[in-house]
Formats: sequence, structure tokens, C-alpha cells
Amino acid sequence: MGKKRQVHEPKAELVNADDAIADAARLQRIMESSERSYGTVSVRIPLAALLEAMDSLETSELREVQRRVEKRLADVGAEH
Amino acid sequence: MREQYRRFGGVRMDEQHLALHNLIVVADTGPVISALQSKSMDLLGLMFGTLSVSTTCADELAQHGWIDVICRCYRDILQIETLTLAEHERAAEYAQRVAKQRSAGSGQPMHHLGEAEAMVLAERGLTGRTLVLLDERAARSVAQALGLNVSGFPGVLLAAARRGLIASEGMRQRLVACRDQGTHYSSALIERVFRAAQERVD
Repeated sequence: MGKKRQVHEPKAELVNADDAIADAARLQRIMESSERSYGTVSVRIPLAALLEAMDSLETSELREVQRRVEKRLADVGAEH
Repeated sequence: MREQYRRFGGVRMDEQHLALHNLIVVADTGPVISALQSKSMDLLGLMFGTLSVSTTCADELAQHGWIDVICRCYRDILQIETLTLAEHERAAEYAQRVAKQRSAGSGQPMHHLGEAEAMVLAERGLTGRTLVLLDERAARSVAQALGLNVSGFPGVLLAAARRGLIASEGMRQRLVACRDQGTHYSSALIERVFRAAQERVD
């Protein structure tokens, strides 16, 4: 990493803030659509194995688990 | 250098590791360099599994001095795709379209082959399941006219921040790291995207 690297296409005009915000909204729509279209299969694993696996997750992965747990809890809460 | 990458072995699409989304994502050189500059390759791997790049993009990554890092750390995330003869012809046509755009920077089509090849690779996938990562406005304009789903690297980071995968301050630091290493993300872009991320997280 010590050596100086060239800038890629220095004269090209890059995305601006409006582009980036529109991109993020588009990407979120695509990701949500992708999640909805997942096929499902049931896999039985011991709860202890699931909890143990969480010990090896990175921060970003833990945040995704947290997001899904919170969504699931909200769904369960809404059902009761 | 491409051969060096192959020797270490990329992964095939059907060997993709678990990603949060079953999208096919094709990247141009610029967004991959930004991801490398900001140490965000693992984040892209988490979000998308693998990123496909064309042979021209792989050559450009090698020219910019990134191939060693890719081989050492990210060979399971980047996958090099080879175009067919017909696809090469279509890429040449798209490169001409990009070169004609006012924001292209260079009017030479050969300077836009990487973006054009990324578009052609993205056209292999199903609409709605394919994303092409492009940072250059001229190429984005052509890709959007082709009906492709486009995002730049800052948009990917903002989406990651909004999903809570990274903190908004961490997102800002990643964009600053890119800028500090020469990528032309403006201060206005960084601050506005940071504020947009703060609206949803932290």
C-alpha cells in the first residue's frame, strides 16, 4: 500500500450528491425486492449452534442480524 | 497480471458465498478502486457476494497497482468475466456512445471500454436482478438509457449505512479516504451523503 497509485480517469465527471442519493434509494428497492423473492427452505439446527455461530460474526454482519431480529420482533409483536 | 489473478483462482458464480442479496453485480474499475481505497471490499462482499468485472477492468486494476491486494485479500469477491466476440462488438458500440457524452472527459472510445464492457456483462442478467456499479456520469447516462440498474460507489455506501451495516460517520470516512487517495468525490457530495445517512441511522 506504500506506493502512490494513479487516479483512474481523472478528467471524467463523477457522480454528484443527487446521483448518490438516488442510487441508494434505487439500490434499497432492488435489495428489498430481492429479499422478497427469496425461495425458502426449512433447516433444523440446534439453537445453540445458531447462537455460537454469532460469536464469529463481524460487526457489519452483526448489524444485519440485529436488523433482522428487530424486524422479526416487530412482526411477532404486531401479531400478538 | 490477469493471469496472476487467475493463478490464485477467482470464484465462479455458482460457488458464490452467502450474500445478503441474490443480485448479479457487475462493477466498472472506478467503484472497485474506491472500494479498495476505503477498505470496503468486505462490505461489498457481504452485500453482494461477488462482483463481476470485465477483462479490461481487471487490466485497469492491474495498471493502477491493485492486483496484488486483490489476489491476496479479495480473490473470493472479484470474478473476471470474458466477453464473447459479439459482446466485444457491442461494448465497442457502447464505448462510442459514452465517448460522445459531454461529461466523458475523453472523446476516445477506447478510454471507455471498461464501462462499456461492464454494461454488456450487466445485460447478461435478468432486469431487476442485475446492478452495474458505475461512477462516471457519462457511462451512467448510457447505461440508464439501456435500462440497466445503476449505482455509484457512494450510493452503495449510503444504502449500506441506511441498512445499518456501517455507521454514517464510518461511511463519511470511507468517502474521505477515497478522496484523499485521488478519487474525485467532491466535499459537497461527501457532506450531503453523510447528512442523508444520518437521517436514517445513528
